[in-house]
Amino acid sequence: MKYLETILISFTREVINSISKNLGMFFSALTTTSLSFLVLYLLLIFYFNIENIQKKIINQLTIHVYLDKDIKGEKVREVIYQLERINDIVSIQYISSSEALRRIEKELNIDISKDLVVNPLPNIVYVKVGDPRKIDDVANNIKKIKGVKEIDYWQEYVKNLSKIIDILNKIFIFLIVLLSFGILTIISNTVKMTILARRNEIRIMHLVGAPNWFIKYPLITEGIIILFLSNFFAFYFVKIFYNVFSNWIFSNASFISLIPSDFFNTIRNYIILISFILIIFMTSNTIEKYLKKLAQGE
Amino acid sequence: MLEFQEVSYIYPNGHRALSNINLLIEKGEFVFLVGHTGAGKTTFLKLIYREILPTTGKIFFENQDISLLTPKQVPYYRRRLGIVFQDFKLLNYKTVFYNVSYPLEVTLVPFNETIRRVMKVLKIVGLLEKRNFYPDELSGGEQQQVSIARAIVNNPSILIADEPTGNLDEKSAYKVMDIIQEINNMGTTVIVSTHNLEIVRKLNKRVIHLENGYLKNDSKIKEYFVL
Ligand SMILES: Nc1ncnc2c1ncn2[C@@H]1O[C@H](COP(=O)(O)OP(=O)(O)OP(=O)(O)O)[C@@H](O)[C@H]1O
Ligand SMILES: [Mg+2]
Repeated sequence: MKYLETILISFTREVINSISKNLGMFFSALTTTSLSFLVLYLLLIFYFNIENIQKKIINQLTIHVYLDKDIKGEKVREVIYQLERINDIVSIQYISSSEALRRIEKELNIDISKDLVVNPLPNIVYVKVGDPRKIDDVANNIKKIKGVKEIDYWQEYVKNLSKIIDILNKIFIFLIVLLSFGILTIISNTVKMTILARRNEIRIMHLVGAPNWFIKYPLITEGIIILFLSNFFAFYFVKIFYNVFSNWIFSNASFISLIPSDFFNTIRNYIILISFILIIFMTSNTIEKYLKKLAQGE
Repeated sequence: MLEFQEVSYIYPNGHRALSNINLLIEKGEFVFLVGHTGAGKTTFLKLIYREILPTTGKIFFENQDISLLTPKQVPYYRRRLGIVFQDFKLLNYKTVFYNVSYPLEVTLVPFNETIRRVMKVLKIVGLLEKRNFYPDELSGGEQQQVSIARAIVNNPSILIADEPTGNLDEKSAYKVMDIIQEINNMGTTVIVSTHNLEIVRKLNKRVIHLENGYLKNDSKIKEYFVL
């Protein structure tokens, strides 16, 4: 316990001291990392929202299959059976003409079935397709089934939209990966520069008998403080901005539904976790390398 | 305790700083290291605290070849030495107190024990009042005293002092030599490099004389009457 206490006191003081005596360095590192995280969060927001919109569209992707007027009972079941055997269909919903009529009556709160001699509505099957790129194939297969009169879906529109979204998604993934590497490089350069700037201090510590871990951990702690602070700034800045924007969208263009900002908390946690591990690893590695050189008398 | 066997050192730029040094320093000895500027005194001391490794030859500390220490062992070796550097090597972001306490912190000495020992050595070197000053708020001589305090705070088995009186007036220089003698009297081996021949003459200790990297004279082997 005594040891732990001594270490904690000593490290805390070391970190506070070295930050306060190198404030310029600390703030420039903080600014660069904050800005990088800020851009990363913005890109992630775009990426996930676009993906979300795409999912919504896919969910609404329904092929309306109109059946021949004269097929009933056993034959309808036969058609549905054949539909079920087509790949890439995620759901099938059959609505008979009488059911459709009943729904209309309920919706409009009227009673028209007794006035009608024949039900004018067709039997319909709503077919949902999982992957918008497959919709043509699925549609062609459905057309071949006996008993299907005609089908309807928003062919061109759906295809173009999902193409655009696919391209956008790829661009964003590319940017996110690029930026992640950028951030890694920035952080690792910051670490290297800090160590370079502290070269003499590290050398002195080493000369008066400080073991590697004693030199390393205060420096790593500094890196982690920068990580948490910059992440905090970037995240809340983006989050506040995003909330304001979502509210505006909600009241002015409610047909676009944005992901609730809480979703990004999870993402932030992952980002912090990953960069936490990377910072420990990179800082420790760079310092070890330098100390090894010192110990070998170079 | 410390033995040099045919030690030569050539700096990476090709400069030959030490040539074929052979000598033995016993436990508890007080040794002066003298020689002109550039004679190789600092190089000699750097070899002892293993900032550099001999180009050829071997150095033994308590029968252990220090070239064979692994990087991880080096800090533990250095804790047994107290080093006063010619350029002090203080940590500028730490106060006097924490500069001196650093060698104790790294060995995880409990905090109240640290305070006690740091206060004691600061009192010895006369810097108790300035313990909360930063190094750049001290004069050159005061920085030197901090450096001495730091070197002796962890009761080293050997004290290596590179010109510990270089920046001091006569009175302070003798005071520092008194402190070093005191430490030597308590059993610590002491190696002091100096240009101050008056002190060397007065104290009448063993003198190792380097010239152009060669061991010119060792008063323990031959009577030292040059100068
Ligand atoms: N890092 C270095 N690279 C190359 N040559 C060096 C280096 N350090 C010292 N030298 C050379 O090695 C020789 C011995 O240097 P050293 O510092 O040991 O001298 P010294 O006896 O301590 O001198 P002084 O009394 O001025 O402190 C000098 O000629 C110096 O130029
Ligand atoms: Mg010198």
